Amino acid sequence: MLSFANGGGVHKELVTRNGKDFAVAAKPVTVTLAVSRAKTRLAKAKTIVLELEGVHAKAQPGFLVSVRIGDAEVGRVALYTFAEPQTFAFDATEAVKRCGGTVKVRFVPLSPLEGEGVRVASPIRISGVALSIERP
Amino acid sequence: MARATVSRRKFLSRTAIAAGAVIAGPTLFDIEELLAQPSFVRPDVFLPAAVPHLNAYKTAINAMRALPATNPISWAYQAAIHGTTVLPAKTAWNTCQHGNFFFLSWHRMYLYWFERIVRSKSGMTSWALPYWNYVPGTTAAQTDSRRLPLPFRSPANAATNALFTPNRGGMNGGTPFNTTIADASGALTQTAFTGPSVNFGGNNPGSGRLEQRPHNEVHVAVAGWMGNPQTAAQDPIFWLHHANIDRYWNVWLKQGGGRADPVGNATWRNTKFTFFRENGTQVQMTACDILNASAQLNYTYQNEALPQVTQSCPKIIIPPILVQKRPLRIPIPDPEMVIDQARPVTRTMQTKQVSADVMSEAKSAIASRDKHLVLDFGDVAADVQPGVIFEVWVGIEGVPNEKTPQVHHVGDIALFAQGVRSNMTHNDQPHNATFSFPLDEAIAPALSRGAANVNIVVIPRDPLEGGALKKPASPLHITKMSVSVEDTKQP
Repeated sequence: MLSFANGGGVHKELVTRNGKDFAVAAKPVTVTLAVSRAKTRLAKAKTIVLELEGVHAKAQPGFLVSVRIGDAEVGRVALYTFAEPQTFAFDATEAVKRCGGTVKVRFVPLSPLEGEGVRVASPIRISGVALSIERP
Repeated sequence: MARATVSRRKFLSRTAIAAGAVIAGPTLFDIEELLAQPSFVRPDVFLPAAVPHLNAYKTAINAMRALPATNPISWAYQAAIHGTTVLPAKTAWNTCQHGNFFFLSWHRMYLYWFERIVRSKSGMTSWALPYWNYVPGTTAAQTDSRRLPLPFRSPANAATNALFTPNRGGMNGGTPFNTTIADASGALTQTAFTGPSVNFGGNNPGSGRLEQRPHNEVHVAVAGWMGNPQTAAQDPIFWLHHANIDRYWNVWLKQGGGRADPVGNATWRNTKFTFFRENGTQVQMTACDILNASAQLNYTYQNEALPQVTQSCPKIIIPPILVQKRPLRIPIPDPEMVIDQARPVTRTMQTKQVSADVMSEAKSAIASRDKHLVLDFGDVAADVQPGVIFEVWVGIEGVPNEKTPQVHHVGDIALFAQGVRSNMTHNDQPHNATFSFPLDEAIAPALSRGAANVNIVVIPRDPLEGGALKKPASPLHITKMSVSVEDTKQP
């Protein structure tokens, strides 16, 4: 259970982390998180946070990434500051609770503009996907 | 927009706010200078009131672009304060704040001084920065709000239209950005400015929901200069986009429900940032100087619900007591631990050595709703990313198996930002990581049966599916280990 440096008493308990580096470009990517050993803890959790670590690109990617668990979009990645690795955190409580022993996180590229297809100027790299339980 | 006169009541109100800032620390810019200014209203770029402001904006941009880049009030210098690739950097260049809880406060300061410079060059004494009022939805007006405002793309000639730049993507052609990008509800529904991982205004580090959407997504949608912090502020639309983000800060506070700026955080409150007045002299500000846009900086937004929420830095900061923690004397001999192999490492809490009163306190905490026993690991660090997750188990013998009750698995250690020495740059404080684990359920069976010892087992595992024992790429050092009682009862 990780204590935040500035969290004012917020505690974060890591459930699982997939540390495999991967890239998102024109095609969707799915990352699997094993949570079977934490089913009870997840079922009781009030807040489950999905974190994307080390999110970066060599240049402005030119597209967004919809981050989905099951049918639900839990958040989006829009890399504005792209050169330095960023961390994105999304509330995934409801989406994760609907999953079984495996959480499949799907990364779907999107165009920011209406009616246009995805144009990838630079792939978005992500160095880790983690699931945590957070309590105040 | 017509400028408002300053009433006596408002003057006194402003003075009170300013006095609050003085109490908190030395005021970093001249309050008298502020009070001499009239009030300004930032217009909605799509409403007729914005027209004279946009024309005057063009005049100012041309005047600022005519100045040498070494002049602090030139267009190039002002943009470089946000970011630039030009070297060597001059005073305040590349100081934009993103991915942390200064994002909103720093950009408010940046816009405020930029607005004063533009006003001085615009020939319009009531000039205020218009805001790009994009909204979600599918009606014609809603869709149009997500197109680049027409004066910024037509005429499409940078030589004759100071608001146009060819350094944009498809939006210069009139394509709107997606409706979901303008949806700020995910940010506005957050109640915490900072603290939880998902919040409104960001952590330190960590971006808040408003920064992610609509802020980041609009930057990506406009593309070109706007797609990169090092060039974004060169695009005249940058400033209107950020005025809208700044407006959302007011909208968020106005909802109430416990929403508040983090004035109890000394780092957020006291960090100074440097900008330039319209006469080119330097000025420094802190968050305490800009908490209330109307009272402290003399501006409101057209169609904004008034009055704005008034906040100020209190005289004495009393942070809310969320958790009171005190150590409990449960001996853990040789607590220092190094995990450098693919096998568990064990330490022992000597519960037999615990005095009767301490044991009574421990059992009382376990039984209490407001108190909890906590196992603390201090000074946790590795030279480089260990590449494994360290499971922490309490009250077991050997390696746990599928039949081991999960209550004994009290948590995991995964070093990411803190604790990995190679990740620390020259700006980072040399802090190692600290971890706390809940003990109540894990230790209760042992205490109730009067066990002499309770094991603490740390197990390095592969983070990928399967979770086999794995040797860390870099040894994990845990220097301190102790037990404490947490009291979460609010005062």
